[in-house]
Amino acid sequence: MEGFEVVVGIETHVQILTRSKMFCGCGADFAGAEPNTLVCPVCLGLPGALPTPNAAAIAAAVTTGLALGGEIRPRTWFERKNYHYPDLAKGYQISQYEAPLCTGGGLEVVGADGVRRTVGLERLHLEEDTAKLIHAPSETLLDFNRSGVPLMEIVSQPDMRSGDEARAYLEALRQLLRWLGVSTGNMEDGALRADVNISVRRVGETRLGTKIEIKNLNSFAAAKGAIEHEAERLAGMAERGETIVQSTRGWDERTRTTFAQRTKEAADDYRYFPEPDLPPLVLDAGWIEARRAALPALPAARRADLTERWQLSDDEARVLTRDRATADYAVAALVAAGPGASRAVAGWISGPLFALANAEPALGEGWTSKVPPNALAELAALVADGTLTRSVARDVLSEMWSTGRRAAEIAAGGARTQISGSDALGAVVDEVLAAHPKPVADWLGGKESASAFLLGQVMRATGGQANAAVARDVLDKALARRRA
Amino acid sequence: MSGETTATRNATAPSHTDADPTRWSVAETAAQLRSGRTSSLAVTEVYLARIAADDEVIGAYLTVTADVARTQARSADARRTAGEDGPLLGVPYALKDLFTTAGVRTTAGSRMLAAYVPPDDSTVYARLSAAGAVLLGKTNMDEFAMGSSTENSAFHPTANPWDISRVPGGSSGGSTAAVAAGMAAFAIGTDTGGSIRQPAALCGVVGLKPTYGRVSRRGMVAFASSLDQAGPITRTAKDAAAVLRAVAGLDPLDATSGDVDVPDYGSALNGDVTGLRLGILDEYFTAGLDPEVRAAVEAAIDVLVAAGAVRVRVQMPSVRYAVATYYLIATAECSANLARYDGFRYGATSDTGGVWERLTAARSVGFGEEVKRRIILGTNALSTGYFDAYYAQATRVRGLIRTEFERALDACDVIVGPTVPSPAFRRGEKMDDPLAMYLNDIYTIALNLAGLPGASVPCGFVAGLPIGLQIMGRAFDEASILRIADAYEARTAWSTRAPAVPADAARIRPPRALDA
Ligand SMILES: [Zn+2]
Repeated sequence: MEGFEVVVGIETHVQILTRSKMFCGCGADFAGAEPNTLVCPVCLGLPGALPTPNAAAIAAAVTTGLALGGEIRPRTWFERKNYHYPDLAKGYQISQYEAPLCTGGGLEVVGADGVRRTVGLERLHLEEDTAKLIHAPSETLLDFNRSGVPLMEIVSQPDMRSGDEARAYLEALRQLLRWLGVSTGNMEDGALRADVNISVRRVGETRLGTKIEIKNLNSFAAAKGAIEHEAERLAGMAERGETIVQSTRGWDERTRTTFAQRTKEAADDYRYFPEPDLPPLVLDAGWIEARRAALPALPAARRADLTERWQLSDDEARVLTRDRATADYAVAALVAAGPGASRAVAGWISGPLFALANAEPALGEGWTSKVPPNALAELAALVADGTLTRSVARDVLSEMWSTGRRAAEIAAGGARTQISGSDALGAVVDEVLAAHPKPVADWLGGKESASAFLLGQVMRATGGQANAAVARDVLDKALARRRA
Repeated sequence: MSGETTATRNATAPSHTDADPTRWSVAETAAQLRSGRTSSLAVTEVYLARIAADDEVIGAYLTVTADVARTQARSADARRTAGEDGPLLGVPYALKDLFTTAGVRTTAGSRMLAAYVPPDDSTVYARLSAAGAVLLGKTNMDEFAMGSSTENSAFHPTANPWDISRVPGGSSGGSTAAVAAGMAAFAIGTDTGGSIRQPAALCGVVGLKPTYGRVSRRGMVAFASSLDQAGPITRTAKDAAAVLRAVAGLDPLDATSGDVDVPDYGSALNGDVTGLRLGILDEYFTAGLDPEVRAAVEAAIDVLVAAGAVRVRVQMPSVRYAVATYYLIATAECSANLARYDGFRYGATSDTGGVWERLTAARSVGFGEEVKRRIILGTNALSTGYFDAYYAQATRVRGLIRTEFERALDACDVIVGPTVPSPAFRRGEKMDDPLAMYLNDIYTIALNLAGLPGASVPCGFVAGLPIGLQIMGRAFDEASILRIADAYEARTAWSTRAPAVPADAARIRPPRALDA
């Protein structure tokens, strides 16, 4: 790869999360359904059947296009993409070609180097999914449940320069799709499928090299691995002066190598033409603007808000924007806690609260209502003003999680408030020093780190309720007295 | 008093109608049923007997649905007994075999669909069933509606009832022959480039192609989706109005159907054409027009002028490109519409072999020559390198034709002219010359490209064969067309003539083996 640069563009097919299919009333939730039960004359492509467009799918695609910063075409149309294959019920796919629903826009990704970069987008258009071929040992079966499920095809510019960046792009795309609620984005279910276009060129060259397409990558790891492997292979060929032929390749997860599928001698001729069964799709400007106004705050904006307004680090911001529910929760808690408490609040969310949520995965996004944002802010305030120690506060949080009670109420109910009187602590310190003569001798002999162990023992003896700063002060004084 | 009313009604009906129900118009049939003098079941039995007697000579039907007909007739009689009434209630009819009918095979005239039984009803059939009409059977047609003579049917040809050595026209030739020969009170056809109007002219019946979007296409086996339109084939303009009213109107399941009110045409058919402007198109009275047809059409226009209409000369220079334009757009669309017939779910020829072998084998055997010719033409018109010169160019010309029609129809209320350049030709005469066959639609095709409505009404005979007057109108203004057609009918006697089917003629179709 020395002296070479890899250029990557990604085409994704995204299943849109709608109740019914793109052009008929059949249910679109085909996962787990008996084969060929979610079908009708339209999605079976029976003679005489006519498509009627699904408004919810169009709205979801417009929302996605707007969230990606693209331009929505107010007047567009569907086209027929013609090719024969047994999984294509009508012998053509209803798609868009000349006039995609949305053009332009971009997606901000954070690469492995931590640098933020925007991957440009070429287009986003609507189409329908094909049926599923199921290969049995002696025959191939067809399941039409997937036939006609709404899809968005999102095509990036060739803006990525590594497997890591491609992976970051796919992760960012999935995050956005879930954020908007327009798709599950699950690659393993095929709800998000990636075809990668890859070429290499010498560093400094501006023209693109010959393009290789790797189809049907069904995980982030596969996308990254395939690109890295293929980039090495292509760079090696270029180095040796071999001719690279435009072709389609597959990715073998087992051997972690790409393999030849077919060579493109001529471009596929899909003979696109306007779908005569559907009138042009005319979108009212007011309707588009209403969808734009209804967009939630998006991941990139949320991240910027957390780092700029709330002074969190990039890493903290990334963790707190892992999904929309978390981000909404975090911002609400930060607002409730007020300026100055942001790092502490961020720590409470990404540490103890995530741990509690992870222990109950069935809750899903519901975890955000277990401890309301202002309740968490109250807890943080009790720690900040010294009423609770951090470790006591952890226990209080667990109780808040399971009972729904507020922090102050729990703290008042039990002997949970902090021991900060130096008299009370003095007795504890004396006991600890008496019980651990060896570390005391070590400390007296000059090993300063021994005091940390002793402080730990004090905290332990008070069940974590000691004010750490006061305890350290009492301990230091007691040790100094022994030296004298 | 009620006795007097009945007597008056009977007196207005032409005398032949009392004797033979198969010569009754739809309106007369409904009147007879309303009077209680006969039942739908009785009329249906007469039709079924007529079909049994004559259809082996005419070949109008691909499937006779006797059981369905009797069931629907009994149901219509029960509805009438219960106090219901309607212009089609209990009236027997025929449906072109490209409208899906749940449980009754729908072939589109193709071997590919010889065994295809659809799971649901087309909107047209569902609406006719709701109106209480009685389905006698599914009629013959050129395969996938591609043709002008019904000779492209994969099953058998259809004879013209006026001369059984001649074609009935096409592609709705089975439907028009059935109505002409007294084997249905009305029929439904489809018109992509003239497939209702041209066979209606050649069979001496009324055929109406409504505005594109007026009648739902749901459940119509598609030929060319942007041009296909269903419409009535009847013996009178009034009947066409009644049938159109039953089947027309918005269908939420056809995204191209128009949300335009369907008027009650009854009040429009008042016989008054005073001051109506008849556009006479220069381009439709040129050298290719048979002089006798021309004379008959001009005489028909004279009748309307004598009744108070006025002539207006109009021009549409782009109409000369209509046939070429049509054969690019229609074939392009059909190349996609017919792609689903792949040898797996339809027309399988074998259970073995790879995807491509099976697909190629099934389509080679399952499609006829004309269908294959059009798929190849359309595939080429859409291919990279040809698209701009063919499909895209045709789309532009289509736009010009549409604009010229609109402009012409600003200057007049309807455009009138010949439906066909010459009367019915002999079977086999044009089968080896596709271009000559295509030119038979020279006067009808432009209207489909413009998406406008038009009708053909009988306007005379040339050498004993019927021909038609074509009346073309503005979008969704079928009422004006029907009014003129009705006024013309009232002043002439062409529509009262009926052909006699020779009893001893050779069979054109096999016996009832194919029936449901
Ligand atoms: Zn469906």
